[in-house]
Amino acid sequence: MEIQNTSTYLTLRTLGKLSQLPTIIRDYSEQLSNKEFKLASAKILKFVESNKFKKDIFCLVEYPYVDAQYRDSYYFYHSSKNHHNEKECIRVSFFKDELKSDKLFESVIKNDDNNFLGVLIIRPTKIRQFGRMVLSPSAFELPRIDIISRKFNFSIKGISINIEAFQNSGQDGEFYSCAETSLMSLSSYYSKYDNFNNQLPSNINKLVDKVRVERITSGVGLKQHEISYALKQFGFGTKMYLRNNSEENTQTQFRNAFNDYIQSGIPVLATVSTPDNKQHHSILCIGTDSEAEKELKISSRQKNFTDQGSDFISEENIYVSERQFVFIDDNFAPYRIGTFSKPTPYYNNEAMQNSSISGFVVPLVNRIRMDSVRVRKLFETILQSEYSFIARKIKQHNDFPLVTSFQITTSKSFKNFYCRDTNLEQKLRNTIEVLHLPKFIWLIQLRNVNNIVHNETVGLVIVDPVSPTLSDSVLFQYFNGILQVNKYNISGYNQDKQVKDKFIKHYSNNLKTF
Amino acid sequence: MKKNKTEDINTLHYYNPIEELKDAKEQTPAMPIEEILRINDIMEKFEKEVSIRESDAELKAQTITIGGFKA
Repeated sequence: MEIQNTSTYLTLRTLGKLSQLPTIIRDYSEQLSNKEFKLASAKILKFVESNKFKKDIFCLVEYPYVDAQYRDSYYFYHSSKNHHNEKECIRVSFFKDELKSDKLFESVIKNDDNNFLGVLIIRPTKIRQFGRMVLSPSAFELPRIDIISRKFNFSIKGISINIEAFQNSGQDGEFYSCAETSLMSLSSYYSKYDNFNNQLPSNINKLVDKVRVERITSGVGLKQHEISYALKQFGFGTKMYLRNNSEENTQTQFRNAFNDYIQSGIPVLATVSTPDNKQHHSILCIGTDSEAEKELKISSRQKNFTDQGSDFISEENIYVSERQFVFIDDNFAPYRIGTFSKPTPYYNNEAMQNSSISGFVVPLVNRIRMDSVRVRKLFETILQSEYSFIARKIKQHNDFPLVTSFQITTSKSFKNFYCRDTNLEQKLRNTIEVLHLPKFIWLIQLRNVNNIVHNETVGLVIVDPVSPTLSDSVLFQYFNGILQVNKYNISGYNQDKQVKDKFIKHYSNNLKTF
Repeated sequence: MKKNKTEDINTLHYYNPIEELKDAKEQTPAMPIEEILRINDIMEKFEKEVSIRESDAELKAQTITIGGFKA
């Protein structure tokens, strides 16, 4: 049988090593007579080296590829230019193991999900050619990280393959800037839920146009309140935080809030400002470095409770090394590492190396009315009350400091986590199962220093993020084998008779380890 | 075949662990209403402070343009 190529489009497929990528793309650019792809071929080697791609990986390069993000910006902006005809992109798919050309289908099918590392889109834009990137952390030389991620599905050689990743998009230098790409990456993550859609550049442009008094000049960027407004239009109950340098107390609140949302598995849209406060850049924070094997800087003390200042410590302050965060920066490949005080040390530019987080926007859901600052204040106030259950139990405790962590989670995940724990005492499991909880809860966990290694919790408080009054907001309290349910404010279990466990598993279900 | 009603009831298992809390050996006294009012008052004052700060931040946010920074 003879097969004739009747297509008017040129279809290109090439297999190769990562080091051969510049040659392949240059070859494509010559076959297509496309100078933008030629520019990409000149930049790709520096891009993979500076972003620490693993050297021994393999790639499958394909043309044409229709990328929704680029196609949207093409029809909305690029096509109106005199010389911009190219609608198609190049897609580079990365694999751990080599794909043999004679056994390509077998190679893709074999261990498909484990072998596949994600895709990079090369678009024919004039200034910046590297577009959407959906890449697994396994494609890079990285330390162990705990991040927010979702499953993406791609068709490679006609075979559907999944990948767990967080999307990143490079700004095109013309139509959209870092603020828009951060919004797109964020919406791509949330589109895994039924209530949210993936947002394309033209949607964002149209939304912001409604609040702006001037025309939108392409690529200039967005104001912080416009980012917040766009997120609100996507369907979130947005909360905006700005750093206040004048008060130490508010700076602590600012930092704690940032940590709480990341631990809650909520991507945070951070504004990074240069020391002279003249340039501002938008990045997404999606996780932290893995703290499982970090060295502790504090030790357990057998003593009675004295005061909150010395006997409570936030989770992020217990390790010798400063907590590292994982960022999505549209000037780089995903998963850049930085600290809260210096989030962008990976830039060559000195001003950006010394930049700090001046504000952030959190895409909360509308139902969460009590934010991190308010829930922390509520907990602090309850601890000062001689009548509160948890305060009484803490006063009987003699192992300090207690390590605190605050996170938002769904009651479904919380119940699933503890009801699946077969080591949890039956009575406690039954109580957790029947607890009447709202969809989202604030979960406050207290740990002894010695229990951190074993991932155990000694105290647990559940707060309703919607309820405005104290009497209704604290729903469940547990401390060292004794629990209290808000419904019966006067009751507690006797530990000898009812609940054997003193320590329960530490709840951490929001971030995935890579 | 029609089932015997008494047998059906005997096979059902009812449990309500939260109800059982009432019979717990160790009891924590209820928080007096004055204490609840005091804490609610603290939270209300805090809410006012935070709201003022948040309004200032909202104004400041309108002056910061984010974007255009290249590597």
